[in-house]
Amino acid sequence: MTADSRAVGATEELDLPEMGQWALVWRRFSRHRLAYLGLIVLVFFVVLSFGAPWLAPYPYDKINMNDNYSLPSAKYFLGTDELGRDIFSRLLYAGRISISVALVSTLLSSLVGIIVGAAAAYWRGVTDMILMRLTDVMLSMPTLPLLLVFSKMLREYPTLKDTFGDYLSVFVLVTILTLFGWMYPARLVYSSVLSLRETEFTEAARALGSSGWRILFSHLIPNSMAPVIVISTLGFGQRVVLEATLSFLGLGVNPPVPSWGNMLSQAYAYMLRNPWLAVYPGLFIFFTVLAINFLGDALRDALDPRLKV
Amino acid sequence: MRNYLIRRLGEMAVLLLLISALVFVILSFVPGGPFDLLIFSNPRITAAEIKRLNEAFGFDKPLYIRYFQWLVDVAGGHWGTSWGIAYGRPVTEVILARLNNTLILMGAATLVSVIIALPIGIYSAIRQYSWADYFVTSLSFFGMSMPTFWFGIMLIVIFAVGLGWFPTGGVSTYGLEGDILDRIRHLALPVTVLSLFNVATWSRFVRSSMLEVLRQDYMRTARAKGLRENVVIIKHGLRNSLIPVMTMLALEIPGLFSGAIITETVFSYPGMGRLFWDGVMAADWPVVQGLVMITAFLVIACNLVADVAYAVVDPRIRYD
Amino acid sequence: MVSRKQALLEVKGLKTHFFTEDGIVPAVDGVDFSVAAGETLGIVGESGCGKSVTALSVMRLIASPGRVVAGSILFEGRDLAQSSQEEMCDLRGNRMAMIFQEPMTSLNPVYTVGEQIREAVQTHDRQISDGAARVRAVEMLRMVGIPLPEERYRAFPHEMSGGMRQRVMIAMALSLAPALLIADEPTTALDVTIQAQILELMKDLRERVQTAVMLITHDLGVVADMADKVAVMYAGEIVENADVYSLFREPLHPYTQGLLASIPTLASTRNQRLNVIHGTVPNLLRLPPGCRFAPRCPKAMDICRQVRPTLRDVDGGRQVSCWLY
Repeated sequence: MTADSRAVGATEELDLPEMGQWALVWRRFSRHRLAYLGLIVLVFFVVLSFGAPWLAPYPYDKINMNDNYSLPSAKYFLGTDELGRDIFSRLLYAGRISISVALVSTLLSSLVGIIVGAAAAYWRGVTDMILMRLTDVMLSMPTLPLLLVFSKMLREYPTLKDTFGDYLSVFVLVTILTLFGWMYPARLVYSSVLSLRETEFTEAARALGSSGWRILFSHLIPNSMAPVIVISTLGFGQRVVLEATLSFLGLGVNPPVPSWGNMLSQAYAYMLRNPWLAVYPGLFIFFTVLAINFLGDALRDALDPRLKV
Repeated sequence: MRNYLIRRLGEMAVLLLLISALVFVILSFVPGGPFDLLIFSNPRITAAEIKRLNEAFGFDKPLYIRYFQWLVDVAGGHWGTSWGIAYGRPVTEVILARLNNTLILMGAATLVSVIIALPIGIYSAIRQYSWADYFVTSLSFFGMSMPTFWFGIMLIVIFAVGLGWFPTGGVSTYGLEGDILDRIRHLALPVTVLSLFNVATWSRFVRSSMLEVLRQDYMRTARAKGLRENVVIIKHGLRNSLIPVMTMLALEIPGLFSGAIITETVFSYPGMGRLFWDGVMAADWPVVQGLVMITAFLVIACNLVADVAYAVVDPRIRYD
Repeated sequence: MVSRKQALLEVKGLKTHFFTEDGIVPAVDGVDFSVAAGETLGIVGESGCGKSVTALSVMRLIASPGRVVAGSILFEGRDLAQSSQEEMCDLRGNRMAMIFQEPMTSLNPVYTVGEQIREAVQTHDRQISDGAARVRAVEMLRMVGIPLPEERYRAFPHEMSGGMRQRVMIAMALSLAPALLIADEPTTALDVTIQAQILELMKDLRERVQTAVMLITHDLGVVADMADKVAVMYAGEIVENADVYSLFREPLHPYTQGLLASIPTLASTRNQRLNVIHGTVPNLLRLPPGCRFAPRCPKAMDICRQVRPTLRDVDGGRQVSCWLY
C-alpha cells in the first residue's frame, strides 16, 4: 500500500511542474461535475435576483385584493399571496436582499477574520493573547440565542432607526452576522500565518530587506487564503439559511423589505389557507444553498484536499 | 487529573461570569423595562409614579450595582422576576416549568439521531463510493442546504394538515395529558426535524472519522494477524473512530438548544426554546438572561465533559 | 547457488496492478521468486519499485484500487492467488506473518501491547484459555528482549520507543511460530544503533523459531548481513536473482552494479566521486517499450530500447533480465 501511494505520488510530482499550481487546482475542481451544476444554478439565481427590476412582471409590493390566493396562471406565474401580490416577482426581489445580506456579511466576516488572525499570528505576544482568547470565548458562546438578543437590541436604537428607515433590519442583520461570523476565518488565517512566518521564504524576504507589512500583505496573507475561500463559500450558504431562520423568527429582515425568510414567515401564518406560499421561497433557498455547497465542496477538494471544515 | 479538573472548573466559572456580565450589559441597553406592562395596561399612570417604582425596586441604581445585586440574588437562588410573558412570577419557576419538555425533545432527538447516524456513517465509510455512500453524502448536502424551520413547515403541511396523521403542534391533546402514545404523536414531527439535521451532519462526521481510521497502519496490522474483516472493523476501527465522534457529540449538544428555539417555535412546543423566543420578543430580560446563562452553562459544561471523555477513551491523553 | 530444497513459497508471474483515475499502474508486473523453508530472501530496490506491493500481494493484503491480476503464489502447496479471504485469514498471523516499516503507527493506540499479542494468539488458537494466552504473550515479550515483560504487557504503544514497538510487532508476528515471516523494511524507521539490535534479534529468532524470512529493504548492507538469496527489483520487475555471495562478488545486471557502486565505503578516497545512477525511476504510467532500465543504463544497446528482456537462467544457477547475457 505504501508503494502504491508512492507510485501514484511520483506521477503527480512529475506532472506538477508542467501544469502549475492553478492548473492543478482547476483540474481537481473540474473533476466535480456537481460543482459545474452548482455554479450554473447559482449564477441562474443571482442573475434572476439581481435582474429583478427588469425581469419581475410586477412590483414586489403591488397589492391586488381581488386576485389574492390565485393559483399559478398565465397572469401570475406562481400565483399570488394573501394580499394578491405576485409571488414570482416577490421571490426575485426577496432573493436580491437574501443573497446580498449573506454575501456582504460573509465578505465582512472574512475581512475582519483575516485582519484579526493575521495580526495575532504576526505580532504574537499580547496582541495574540487578547485576540485569540477573544476568538475562543466568542466560539464557545451559544450563537443563535445571542444573535436574537443582539438583533433585538440594535433594532430598538432610535438613531439607527432614523438613519436606515425600512432597511434598518437589513443593516442590523449584516452587522450581527459579521459580529458572530469572523472567528472561523480568523482561526484558519491565524494557524496558517503562524506556520508560514517560520518558513524559509519569509526568512528570505526578511533577509532581502522587505518590511514586516510587506511580508504580511504580499506573502503571508495571500498564501493562507485557500482555506479562507473554502470556509467563506460554505459560510455564504449557511448565512442564506441563517437569514431565513432569523427572518422567520421575526428578528432578521422585516417587511416591507422582502426576503426569502420573511416571505416564509408570512406564509407560515397562512399555511392552512394556502400551503403553496411556503413551498416556493423554501425551494429557492434550498436550491441556492445546495448550489453553493456543491461549489464549496469542490473548492475544498481543489484548493486544499486535507482541509476539514 | 484532579488538578486539571479544578483548573478547568475555575476557568468555567470565570467564563460564565464574563458571559453573564456581557449579557447583563447588553440587555440593559435595550429599551424596555420592568413596568412596561403596567404602563401599557394603565395609561393613566404618571411618569413620576414610574420613577418612584423604579427607585423603590432599585432599577435607578448604576449598572454595576444592579449587576452586583443580580449576582448576589443568583447566588441565593433568586434569578429575578419575569416582567413580560409571565408577569410577576419568579424566573426559576417559569424556566423549570419548561425544562422538562425541552429535555424530552432534545433527548429523543439525540437518541434517534445517534441510532441512525452511527451505522450509516460507518457503513458508508466501509463501502466508500457505493450507492449507500452517495446516499449519505446527498443526505448531508440536503440537510446542510435546507432551513430547519422550512422542513418543519413542510412536514406540518404534508403530515399534519394534509394527511392528518400527526397534530400540527403542542405537547399533548387537551384531556389526554399523561397518555404516552399521545405524547409520542406530538413528538414525532419535531423529533424528525431535529434528527434529519443531526443525522445529516453527524453521519458525515462518523464517515470521515472512520475513513481516517481505515487508512491507519494498525488496521493493516490487524488484518495481517488473520482477524476476520468484521472484527478488524469493529474492534480496531470503531473504537478508534468513536474518539472524535464522542467529542463532536459533546460539543453538539448545546447546539441542540439553537435547534430547539427554531423547532419549538414552528411546532408551538412549550419548551425552553420557545420560551426564549417569546422572552426576546416581549423584551422580558430577566427570563432571557436566565435562559442565556443556562445555555452558556450547558455549552461550557459539555466542552469539559468532552475533554474528560476524551481522556477516558483515548489512553494517549493524560491531563496533569 | 539457488537452493534446491523444496520451496515453501513459490511466486510465478505475479502481477499486481492499481486501477487509478490516471490509468493502470503496474506496480508489480510479472515477478518470479521462491523461498525455501528456513531460508532468507532479500528483496532490494528503490522506493516505489514494487517491493512492498509484492509482499502485500503474498499476504493478499492489497486493497482497492489494487488487485492481483495474474500469477500464482504457491505457499505450502496451496495457491494463495486463488484462496478465499476466509482461507487467508486462517493463514495470516498463523503460518505466515508480517512486520511493517512504521513501528510507531503499526500498533493500535487504544489497546495495550499485551492485549494485541494475546489477540493474535487467540485468533488462531481458539482452544487456549485467556490465562494461557496471556502467559504466552508475556513469554513472547520476554523472547524479543523486552525488559519486565509482565509489566510491559499492560503498557500502551505510545508509552514505548520505536525500537520497543518493533520488538512488540516481532513478538506478535512470531507468536504462532509461522513458517514464513515477511519483514517490510523492518529497520528503516529506526535509529542506526536500534537497527542493529533489531537485526540481531531477527537473526537470533529466525534460528529459534525455524522460520523463513522474506526481507524487503532498500539497504544492501542489511541484505548482506541477513539474506541467503537476493532478488533485485526495478520498476515492478525482478531484474536479477542470485545467492547473496555471487551477487556481491559479481553483480550481473547494470542496475545491480549501479546499486553496489553507489554504496560509499571507508576505503574510497576523498576525491573519488560516489557512483550514482543517473536519471529517475520511470513513471509506471508511461513505461519505456523496451527494457525499463534502458533510459538510465550506461550499457544500453539498440535492442534494449525496443524489446523487453525476460528473466533468464545464466551460469551459476543465477537469473538475470538483461540483453548483455
